[in-house]
Amino acid sequence: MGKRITRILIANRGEIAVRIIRTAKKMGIRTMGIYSRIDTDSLHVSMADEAVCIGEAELSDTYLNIPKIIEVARERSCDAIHPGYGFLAENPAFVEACEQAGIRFIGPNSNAMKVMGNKIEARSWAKKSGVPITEGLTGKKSILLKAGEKIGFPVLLKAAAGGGGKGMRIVWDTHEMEEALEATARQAKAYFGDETVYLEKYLDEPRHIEIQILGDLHGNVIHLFERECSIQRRYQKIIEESPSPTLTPEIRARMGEAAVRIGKEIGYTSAGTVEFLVDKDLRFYFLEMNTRIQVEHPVTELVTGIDIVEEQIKIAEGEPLRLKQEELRQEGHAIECRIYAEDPENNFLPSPGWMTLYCEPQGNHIRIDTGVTPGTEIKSAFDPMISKLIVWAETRELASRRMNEALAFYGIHGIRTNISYLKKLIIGTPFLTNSISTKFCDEHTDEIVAEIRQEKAEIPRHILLIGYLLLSLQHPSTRDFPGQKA
Amino acid sequence: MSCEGEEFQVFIPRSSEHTLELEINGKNYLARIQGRQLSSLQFSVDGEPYHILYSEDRDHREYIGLGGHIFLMKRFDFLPNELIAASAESLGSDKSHVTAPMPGKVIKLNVKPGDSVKKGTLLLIIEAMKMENNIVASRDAIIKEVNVEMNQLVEVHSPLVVFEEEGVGVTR
Repeated sequence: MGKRITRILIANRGEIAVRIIRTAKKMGIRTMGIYSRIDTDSLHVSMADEAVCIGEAELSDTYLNIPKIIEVARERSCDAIHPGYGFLAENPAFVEACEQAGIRFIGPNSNAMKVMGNKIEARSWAKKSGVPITEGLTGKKSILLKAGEKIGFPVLLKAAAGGGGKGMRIVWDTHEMEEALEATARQAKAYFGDETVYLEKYLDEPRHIEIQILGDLHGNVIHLFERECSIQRRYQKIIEESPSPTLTPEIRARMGEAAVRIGKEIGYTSAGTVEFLVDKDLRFYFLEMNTRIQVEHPVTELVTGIDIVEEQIKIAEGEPLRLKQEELRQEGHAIECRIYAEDPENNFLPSPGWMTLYCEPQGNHIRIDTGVTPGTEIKSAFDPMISKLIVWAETRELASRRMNEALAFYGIHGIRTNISYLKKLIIGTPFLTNSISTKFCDEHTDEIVAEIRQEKAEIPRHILLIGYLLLSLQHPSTRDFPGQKA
Repeated sequence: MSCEGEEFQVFIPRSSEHTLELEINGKNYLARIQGRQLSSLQFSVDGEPYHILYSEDRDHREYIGLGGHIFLMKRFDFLPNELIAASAESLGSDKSHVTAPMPGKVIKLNVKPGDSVKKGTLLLIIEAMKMENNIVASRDAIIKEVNVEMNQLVEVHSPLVVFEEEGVGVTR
């Protein structure tokens, strides 16, 4: 403890690997990348100080291959591993393998990870910490069959060992129950190797609001306020913001305190996120805790000015938290949009392939976290996220407008993306008036797609023809304009 | 030219280094180039500023992006590599009279009266704004008249070539 980290192996790919490399470089720490053969030309490979190919395409041979990753880290004298998110980030066996190899894992200890990795245990810890939870239970099928009526429909069924929305089911009344229980158990077994089903009260039109926390090795835990992530599609977040437009200062403070209590109770020692569901009356319920850095962490960074990855590294080095709760402020408003390779006009069908144009918007308070470069392929083997576009402004309304403009200047050709969808959503009345919930996409997608089509139809064709003609009439050798270099 | 499959008639009565006067489906516009990077262009049309993105896919289809939307574009007169089905009608010629779609200089003359040409045959090339524009036959025909000479400067709508009436002397 207390020894500086000099070389980090990044056990991940894509934008988060690139994101971690940036902070490591800023801190003067060397970075070691790993990659599968199909990622040879990826940005994270070229940006890392060194990179090793650890296998072909199979995830189990590459980004999920614990022995191989540990072996590379040892061979190349890495003194720490950052797991990013996804892949091995929440796998206690990986943390233990790091501990055994004497390599620091940049994340929480395996115990906190284990506790929070199981929904039932996590809830009992939340309860122990005095944090409200939704009514729920697990047990034999015969008990669960009757539980719906006791708790009151609708109820949500999910895998006790699961996460990420996989295999979740809403049951609206008692005669759907038996079949839903069987299907959920079957999927739970297939995805997570444990058929235990968890049943809880389903909140209608809830909001998803989460608290970012930081805990150090000396028992200090602070929070970096909230992120609202209510706009989701099939349980996948697509827009996140901070501060939440929903919370009052009083509720915000109470949720922050609740998250810190959970962190202290389990001895949490890194960056983590405590997720809550918030109902219409602003009652909040513990949902789960993510024991890793999250996709949407940049919105917190933009409003607090804190580099969360840097804090994770400092904590792993054994330093006490440099920040005091009372010194922290949220300034202005930040919004993140996740840019996906999918076709909103065609039921969000994934659209992997080669990008024939990749042109990022530029400007003050615009941040783009991505792992792609122009001319790269969005591979069907991985998550279809191309990048995250994050903007900051003084107010929520200004941030929405800035996001809308930035999206308009985001040029990705050759594959379908959700850019036009996000662009409409972000300046639509429901978003601007904060009339949103986790059901937003179910309720508004048809309307947004119709608006996209109408907007496209209304773009004056003569502008396109003139622009196209100007471009094709200009010979490459004559691309010099006043005040601009050829 | 066409945009998303919809065809438009475009004439360029006058152009200079950074400005272009255009007539599209009978309406006149004044365009001015303001800046260009590798795959984007800033320009104004009648004083209104615009910013577009350009891309070409692996099959050489061309796209223009504006405001987050993407449009498939085609130019029928401009055939960079091969002479594919081209339509002289879209250049403002009737079936027998081929006229100049834009002002420029004749830098190549490929036919003489009496020649028999197939649809798509290159007739001549007009250079405008340092870009070569291929003028191709819209149908199978026999050349009746050639109204221009090498290096001649032509105005928009100038007669270039006249075909024999359709069906006259064309054998297949």
